[in-house]
Amino acid sequence: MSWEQWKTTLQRSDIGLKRNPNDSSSGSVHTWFTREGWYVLFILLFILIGAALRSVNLLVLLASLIAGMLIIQWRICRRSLTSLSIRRRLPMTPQANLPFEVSIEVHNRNPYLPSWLISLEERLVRVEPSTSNQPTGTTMVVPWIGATMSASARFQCQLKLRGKYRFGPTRLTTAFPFGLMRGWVTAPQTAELIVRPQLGQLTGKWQNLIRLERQGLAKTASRAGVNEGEFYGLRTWQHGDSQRWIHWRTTARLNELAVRQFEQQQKLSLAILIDLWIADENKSREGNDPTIEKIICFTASLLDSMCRQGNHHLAIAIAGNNLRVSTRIQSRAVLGGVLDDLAVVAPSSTPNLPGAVEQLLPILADSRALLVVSSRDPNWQQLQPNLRGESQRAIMDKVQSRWLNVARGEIDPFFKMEEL
Amino acid sequence: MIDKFKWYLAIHFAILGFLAACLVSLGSGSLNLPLLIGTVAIISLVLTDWLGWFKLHRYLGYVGMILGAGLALSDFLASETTRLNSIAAMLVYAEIVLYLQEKNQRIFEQLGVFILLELVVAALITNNILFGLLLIPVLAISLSTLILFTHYTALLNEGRNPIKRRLNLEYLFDIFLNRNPDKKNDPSKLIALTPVTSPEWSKQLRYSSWLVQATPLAFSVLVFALLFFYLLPRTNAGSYNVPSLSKPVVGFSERMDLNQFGNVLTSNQLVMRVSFRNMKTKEPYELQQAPYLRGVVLEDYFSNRGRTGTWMQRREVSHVPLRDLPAENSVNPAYRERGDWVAVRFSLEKTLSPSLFCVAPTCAISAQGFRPHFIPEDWRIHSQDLIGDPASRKIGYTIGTGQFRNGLEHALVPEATHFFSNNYAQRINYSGLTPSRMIALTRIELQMFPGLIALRDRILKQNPDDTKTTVGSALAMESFFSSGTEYQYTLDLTAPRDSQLDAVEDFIVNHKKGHCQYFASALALMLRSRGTPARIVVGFRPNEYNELGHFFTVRQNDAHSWVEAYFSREQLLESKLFAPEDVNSGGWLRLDPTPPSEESNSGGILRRRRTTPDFFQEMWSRNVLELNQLQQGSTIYGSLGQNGDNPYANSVEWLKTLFTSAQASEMDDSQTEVAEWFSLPVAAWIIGLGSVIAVVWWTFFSQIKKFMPTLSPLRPTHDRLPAALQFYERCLRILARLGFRRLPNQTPAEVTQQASIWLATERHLPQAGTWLQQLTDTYYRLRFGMQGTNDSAGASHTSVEQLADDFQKATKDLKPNRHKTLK
Repeated sequence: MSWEQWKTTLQRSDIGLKRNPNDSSSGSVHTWFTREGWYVLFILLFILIGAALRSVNLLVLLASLIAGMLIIQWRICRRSLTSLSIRRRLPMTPQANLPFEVSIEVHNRNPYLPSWLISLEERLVRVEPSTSNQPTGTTMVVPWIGATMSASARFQCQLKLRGKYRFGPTRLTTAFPFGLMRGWVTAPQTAELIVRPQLGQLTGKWQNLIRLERQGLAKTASRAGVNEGEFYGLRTWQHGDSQRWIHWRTTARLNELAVRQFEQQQKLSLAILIDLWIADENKSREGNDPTIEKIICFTASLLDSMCRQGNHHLAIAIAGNNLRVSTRIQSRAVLGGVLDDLAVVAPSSTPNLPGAVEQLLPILADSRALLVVSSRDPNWQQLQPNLRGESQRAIMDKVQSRWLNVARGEIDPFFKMEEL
Repeated sequence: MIDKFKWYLAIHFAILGFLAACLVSLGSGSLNLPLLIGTVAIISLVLTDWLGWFKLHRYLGYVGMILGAGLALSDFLASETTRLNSIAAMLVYAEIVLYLQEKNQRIFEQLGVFILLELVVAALITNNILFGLLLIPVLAISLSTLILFTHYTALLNEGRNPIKRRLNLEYLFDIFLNRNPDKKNDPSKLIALTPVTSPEWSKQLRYSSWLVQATPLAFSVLVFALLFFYLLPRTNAGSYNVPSLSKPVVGFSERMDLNQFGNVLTSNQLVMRVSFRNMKTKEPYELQQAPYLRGVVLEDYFSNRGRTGTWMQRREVSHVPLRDLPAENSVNPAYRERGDWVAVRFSLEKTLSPSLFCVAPTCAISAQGFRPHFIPEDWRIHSQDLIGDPASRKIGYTIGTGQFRNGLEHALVPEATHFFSNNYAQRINYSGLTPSRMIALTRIELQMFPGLIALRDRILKQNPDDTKTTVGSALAMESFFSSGTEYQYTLDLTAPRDSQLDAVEDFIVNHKKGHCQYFASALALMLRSRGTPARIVVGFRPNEYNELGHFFTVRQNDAHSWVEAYFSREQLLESKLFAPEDVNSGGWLRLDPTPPSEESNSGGILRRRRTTPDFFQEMWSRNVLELNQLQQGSTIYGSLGQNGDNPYANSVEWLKTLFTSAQASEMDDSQTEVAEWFSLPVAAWIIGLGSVIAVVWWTFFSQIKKFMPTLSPLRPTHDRLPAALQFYERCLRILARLGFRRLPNQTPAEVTQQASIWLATERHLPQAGTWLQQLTDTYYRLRFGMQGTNDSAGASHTSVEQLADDFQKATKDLKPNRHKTLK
């Protein structure tokens, strides 16, 4: 199955699209008077009472016309909505603060009667990381849907915050033709969408930091000889080239010095520990704490940037309300999973840092570099896990660690992002 | 787009306001309101809505409304009769203020409500058919306006957050503290949702689209309204009468003064419409001559030399005993066999006297709400209900008469004692013309009328053969006047009066010109001088017959007066002018001495016309304005039960009998009053008919699909693919026939894979896998814009169909399996 096929399948299952039309039908149709309808109904009752008491036939005639309008309004309202079903189309990997488009396709199964002026009231609520979010929504209008035809309504969505959002249920309403009554039906299908963190820009200082690391690795590679790289090609010798890179057989054939070229395999091996700590008194804003959001944006940007650069050895432990650890983040697919984790993670007043370090130990044995991005001051004691054996302690002793307290602005030199 | 809708709405409301004011003006008779609102509507359209130069502030608008209400209130309190007009004016003033404000949803709503109320007021003050005619464009524009308004509000709500905060204590607390509760925890700062408008919408929201929508809807509303109007059971036997500012035009005072001087002004104003219908055939009864419609009967003549002559009633209506007009079954059987029984329907405009009109002899017809009263002495009918009624109103009633024969009105009117059965005469204690009344009817001061006596003698002398009998003498005198040779008809009474003479004597001796009152007075007095009881009858004699509606249009200038002279049976038989079987007793012979002329009503020649507006107005009055419980029962519901062959007739009769017996046995008097307006058969019919319609409707729409499964439009079309992709559905159908069913969550690729394996292993068709793969690749390419995994993905539509054909041919001979789904 190709990626595109898989994506289509996923979309269908996510939004609960059912192939059987009997199953996809919406709930029962409700109708009620609009404000204008109440006015008219009140006048109608007034007229009818007056007409009944005094036998005013012209009033009865007027009341008949109004009653006719109400009856026709009621029937068309109901008939317009009973045959409608919806299909929602969401993007795959939206990002916070970047606009994306959501499309809702409305299908009219009625073989004879079109539907007019259908308003789609789409609801949207952020379900993770915080559950105390107020739902919001928007209203779209589809002017006309022919019999057995479909029409789409779209809206542009810009979500400032990462997280998991739930779209739906959607309410389809219409007051056509006279606006005296409003009919509505609720399509129960909902869809959840993970909005990944906003990506910022790593500054030159961060690049310098990486370069220094790489220089150290280059020296190591040079010492390691040719085994450290993969053969790439041949070129003529240039001043400064090592004698060990000379390809003697080609030199003899060309009668000119030729050297081997190697693909530089300079890998950065780094373990990142995200400490999403939040004070208890700030618990209420766990889904919208600026420091936490900055940490997550920085981490997402860092991972994205490093994944683009090459095959670095990256491992990350996210210590929030849950502990999530990912090692060997090399492919875009794995990166996507980590970004999804970052999207829904919530801070905690007691993040499990020892557990995080413990799970990162295999990586730290190789990389010996640990970057802690935290929302509080360094507290190395918390990082000491219940190490089992001397070997684990030895690993930790050799690890070079760096603690960045985002709350104090220690990542500001390395990272820029658009303020929320 | 919203601005476009707002502009169109403003135009619609301007037209609607103007039309509503026109409807009001039909009743008020003044064009001030439509002119005012029309002018303001145009100004507001240009200055406020188009150019935007002037917009009345909201609060200034409120002040304006209050001022308008105050202005209307002063009129309201000033006159009781114009109160509804004042209310209409108040509504119009409020509309004017709204027109001058910047238009928004609130303004449009208020305008709609005010215009609707204006229509209500218009319905209360008008009875013109133009109301009905204007109601059709008003309906069309109203529906168009409502459709527009619905579009407008829908577009206004586009992009709005549909989630409303629930009303709870916290919400109320926030409102109380003047904190905007909706801004609290407002997620809109973090979530921006903006609807994307499709460019195709502007095409779908063109003006023509809602006009097209409005037309069938208007037709549907009209049809429903007509059904509702006529089927809605009426609870009253009468109908509403429109109050009007104009003076009553119908009815005569109970005296006649011969005191006109100068030119007698005649008016063409409508008085009433009278129609004649044969009671047996129910068809319109064709008259050969203009009918005499009796109004007031004057018996006593008072002469004052030097002043004027006055004819007066013997007793005023208010002083006579109240007797109902007897019903048809009270008529003497001898009279029932004679003549054509005709129902005469009078539709009077406003009347100023309690006296009503009839064609004598007359009787009441059952099943009508209005019950006239009867004075047997002179065949007058009247209604005590009209006495002291400050708001003169329209009246409609129907009476029966047997006075017509072959379209001609018989001249001899029997006494009520003979026309009705003896029981009736005994019951009302009326024994006919008494000697004292005979004396009163022959009273004349002969010394005041020497000229009249001389003329009488001359007439009798000139016609010796005719004057051998009393009746013949009377007819000779009538012929003398009506010949017009010596005495002419005129409305020009400018000649100087001789103050020493009685008015009739002056007419006889000096002027020799006058109108019907003078001729009738002269003949009546002449008859009295010979001892013949005579009286003056004042009424109408219309000659304008509308052939479309089969009715007479009676106008003010159709007013007429004639003479009735009483002759005994012997005198009548002596004249040999009447068949013995027609003369059971004495009777009143109608004598019309007025000479025929263009100005007079005498002569009786009918002017047959096909006046359409008059016809429609009559139809409007009869079928809309005056529709009541009795008319509804007889014309709409009653028609179902009157035919004896109708299977429903028996059930209706049975229900009637049941209800009557229930009334008699169980109900007291107060409940009987309720039963007068409640019609059980009507209610039963409505419930029964409604149930049948509901069952038929439900059955038709719910069961038709079961009986017509092969009709393609009725099949579920939820997942119908575009035409280019129909081949894939076809493949799935072939697979389904063979026994392979696709699961709802299976992708086409999965279906292909599993179906290929299944066809190869179970049905021994390995090559089907290749075809299916090619078809699936093409499907993916067309559906999702993907490149297929196979070279055949780029195959044309024809080749795809060919592949599907091959697949179908290959599987044609395979027997279907039981449906099985592979997982």
